Amino acid sequence: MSNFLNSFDISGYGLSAQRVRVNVISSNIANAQTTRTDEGGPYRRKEVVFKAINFNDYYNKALTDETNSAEYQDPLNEGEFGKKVNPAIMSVVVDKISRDDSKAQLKYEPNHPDADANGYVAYPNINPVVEMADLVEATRSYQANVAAFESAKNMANSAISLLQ
Amino acid sequence: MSIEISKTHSLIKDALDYRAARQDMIASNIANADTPYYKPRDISFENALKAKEAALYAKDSNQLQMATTDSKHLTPSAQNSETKATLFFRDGHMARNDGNSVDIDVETTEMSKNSIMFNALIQANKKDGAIFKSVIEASQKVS
Repeated sequence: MSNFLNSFDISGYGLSAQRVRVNVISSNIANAQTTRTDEGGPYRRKEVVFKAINFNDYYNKALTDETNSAEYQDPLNEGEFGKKVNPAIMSVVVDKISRDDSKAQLKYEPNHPDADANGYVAYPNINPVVEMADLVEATRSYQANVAAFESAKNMANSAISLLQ
Repeated sequence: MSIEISKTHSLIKDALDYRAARQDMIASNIANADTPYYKPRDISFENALKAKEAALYAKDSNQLQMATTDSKHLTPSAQNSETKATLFFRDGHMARNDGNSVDIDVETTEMSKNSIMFNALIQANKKDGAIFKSVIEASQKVS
């Protein structure tokens, strides 16, 4: 038996995942010039990785029991031919926040308190253009989730209007 | 079913169930728009609804009736409802370099269509009920 409030939760998970991503991107931009951290050295860029999770065991089981499952045709030749849709309905969570350990940018600033013996300061390897592109993507995905939420709300409201 | 006032009612009920399931699927595709290796999923239920409709309204099926020579022979039900909705991966869009192939534009369009159809079904259900309401109201005037 499907629960009509499912879709709200699915979109809600999506919203919170995208919000975490926006927070991490903001902290990357905010720390673009940070040369000192608790872990030592300059700030390192962070990135969010998402994971799809089985949303509702009972619902997915009922769905796979009561429907046929077509095999995946693999239009893009990714070597996933014949995969079955299982589980059918998935939600999303933040899997991990990974640290980008690429080399720091060295700038010659002998007067800086964090300069090394040669007068070079290690600045975080953060490219504002990449961060802004990520930020736009996260914002758009957030808006798409809001749109899904709105449409589910519409459906729920019209179902409720049957009672009037 | 305790009381069956309309065959349309149970057909609409099934259609609404499928539409709700499809809304959930589209919602999960959108939620996973940035998940690596995620493939968009969809459900195709038109054939299942057709079978249900045929069973409800007893459409002339092309099936041969089982010939019985004895009253004790079992007669198979006219429609063995083997027709089910189909789950499938809706793919073929440009994959990004993280192996994800969700196309937000396709998802939002499908979602709008689904939503509109859901609301249309709700309206149809209301109209269906209104017919019985009007019959009952008319019967009250005749006394």
